[in-house]
This record gives sequence, structure tokens and C-alpha cells, in this order.
Amino acid sequence: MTDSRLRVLWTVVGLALTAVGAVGLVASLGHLAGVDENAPLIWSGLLRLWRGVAPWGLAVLGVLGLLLAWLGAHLLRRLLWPSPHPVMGDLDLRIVTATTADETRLPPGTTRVRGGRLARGLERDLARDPQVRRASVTLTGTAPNPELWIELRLGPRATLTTVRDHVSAAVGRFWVTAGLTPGRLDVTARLDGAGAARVR
Amino acid sequence: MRLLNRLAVLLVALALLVGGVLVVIEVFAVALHRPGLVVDHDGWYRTLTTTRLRDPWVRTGIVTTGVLGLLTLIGQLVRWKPQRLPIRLAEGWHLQRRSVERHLAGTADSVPGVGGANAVVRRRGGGWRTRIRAVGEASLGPAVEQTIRRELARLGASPDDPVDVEMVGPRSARRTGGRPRR
Repeated sequence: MTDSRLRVLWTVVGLALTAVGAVGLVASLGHLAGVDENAPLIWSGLLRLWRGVAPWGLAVLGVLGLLLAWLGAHLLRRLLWPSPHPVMGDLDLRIVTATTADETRLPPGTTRVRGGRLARGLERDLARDPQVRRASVTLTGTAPNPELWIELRLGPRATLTTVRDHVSAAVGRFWVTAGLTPGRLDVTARLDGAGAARVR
Repeated sequence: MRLLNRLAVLLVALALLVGGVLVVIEVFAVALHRPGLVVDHDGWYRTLTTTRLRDPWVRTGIVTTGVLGLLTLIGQLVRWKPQRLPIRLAEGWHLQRRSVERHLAGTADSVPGVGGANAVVRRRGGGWRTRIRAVGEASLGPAVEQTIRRELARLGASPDDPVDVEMVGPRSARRTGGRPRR
């Protein structure tokens, strides 16, 4: 679950809670038409309705409980297994080598390359520059137009123009050797270590 | 705020899961005419049919809910610190903000006679706005600014991006509690 989605979720929750608080306070002070502030929280009309629909009220309550539990489990799953960008699976080379649509259906033999292996190969290529201390690559989306997410840890004296040229060259080699065409390239660099030595 | 949002959703998700399962269990208990597993049905019925909307603790609960909602809303709507700063050098390139701030603070510290530097970098339009606060003589401000601008150029920031340097005298820094926060 991305930060922006969580932000939207909490904005909606915040609006709902504020509305409940505002309307509830007005009702509690006796200024809301149609609501008696002296009535109990479970008022007689609700009790009559509950008894009138028995035993279906219990069934509805049970379904509501199941819905709440499902919602909680769904939220937990989304939170604990975040996948805003599903990782690209294996690359079936027929996708990138076939010249016609018919060839992709030809049966004799299939060569698959693990998506993770492709990413590790690019990481090693990126880390060849001594300015790059560590590179982490994630391939998402689907072949033949996957998205490329790169995270770099750079030394404090790294020059970004040379790093950019090195990364562009490595990514260019990657697209050519994998036979893929880029859908998107996103690079985040982090400057490691302290700055220049302190001199007083 | 990002971490708080995640933790709060985790708590709400657990509460929904446990609460939902509990509701189902209690529904079965009522259907089978058995006492509740966790909820005292008779006690809850008595409380909810005798407590009125105007009762002080109900009103307190309502006000607390409203204030909590308002705080949640404000927390989401205020501007958050960016995690990444876009670089003009290439499309799709970013620098992690915290690492840039640490790096610039170290760079300001490297100017002779300057110490305890604190750097804040924010997005401004398509560029960056940099604020440096450092302990040292006011006359060292231009030297710090020049060093920072040189470093920003190396990091791919535009030379037109604003850089504010505030020099704090050692005495006033001691008065305000020593080294400024980095």
C-alpha cells in the first residue's frame, strides 16, 4: 500500500470522524431536528425494528461481522505484503525473439529467464563504477515493456553527471541484451557517508 | 507521518479483524442461547438502553471522536517533507532528501571556522530551496553559500535555486542550547 493511498484513506477516515463528532455534538446538545437528546443510545424505535426483523437481525449482524473481519484481513495483507508495482516474473524469450504473433505459439522448447536474475545482472553492471557503492534494481510490470526501478548508494564525492552517464550506458546495454523495451525508468540515489572532512 | 499512517492502519486492521470475528462469535452465542464469550449481553443491553445521548461521558466520547478526526485530517492535509528531490540532470532521477541534507551540512562544516551546520532542502517549483544554519562568524556566510552552491551544482541542482545561509554566533548558539539541530 503506497503512502499516497494511505494518505487518501486517512483523509477519508478523518473526514468521517470529524463529521460524526460534529453531528453527534449537535445532537447531544439537542439542536438536531428529529433527534431527542434524552433518548437512550439504543432507542425504542431501534429496539422495535430489531424485534420485528428477528431472527434476520442476527444474520445481518453476523454478515456485518464477517465483512469487518474480511476488511481487516484485506488491509493487513495489503500492508504486510506491499506490492504497488508487481515484480516482473520470468521472461519467456519467445516474447522478445518472435517476429510474428504466430511464432509465440510454436511448441518446440521454451527458454525462460528469471526476472530476478536479469535485475541482479544489471545491479552488477551498475556497481562496476567505483562511485556506486551499491545498486538495487527491481523490474516490475510485464515483458516486453517492464518498468525499471533503480536505487543507488553513492559515495560522498560522486559526480552525478558521470554517474548518470554510467547508468544510462548500463541500462542501454540491459535493454539490448534482454531484448526488452523500457516502459519507465525511475532512479533514486542516496549520498552515503559524511561530507568533506571538517577543517577548523 | 508516513510511519504513523502505517502503524495506525496496522492497528485499525487488527481491530477490525478481531472485532469482526468477535461479532460473529457473539452472534452464534446469542443464537444458541449461550452467555457471551467476551461481551456480557445483559450488562451491555442495560447500559445502552439507559445511557442517554446527553450524558456527559457520551458527549465526551463524541467530542473526542471529532477532535481525533480533525487532528487526523490536519495531519494528512499539511505539506509533508518530501522523501526524494527531483534532479534536473535527467528525467526520472531523484536524490534522497535526508542524504542530501546530511551531505550539505557536512559540506558547510568543511568551511574553516564553521561548525554545527544544519541543512534543510525542500522542493520549490521544479527546483530546490536550501536553507543552511551554521555556527560561525557572520562574515563566513558568503564563503559557506559559495561552497554550498558549488556542491549543489555537482548534485544537479539549478544555479538559480535559492540558497539561504544563516550564521549563528558561537555565543548565541551556546545561549540557545549549544549546537543547532542537524
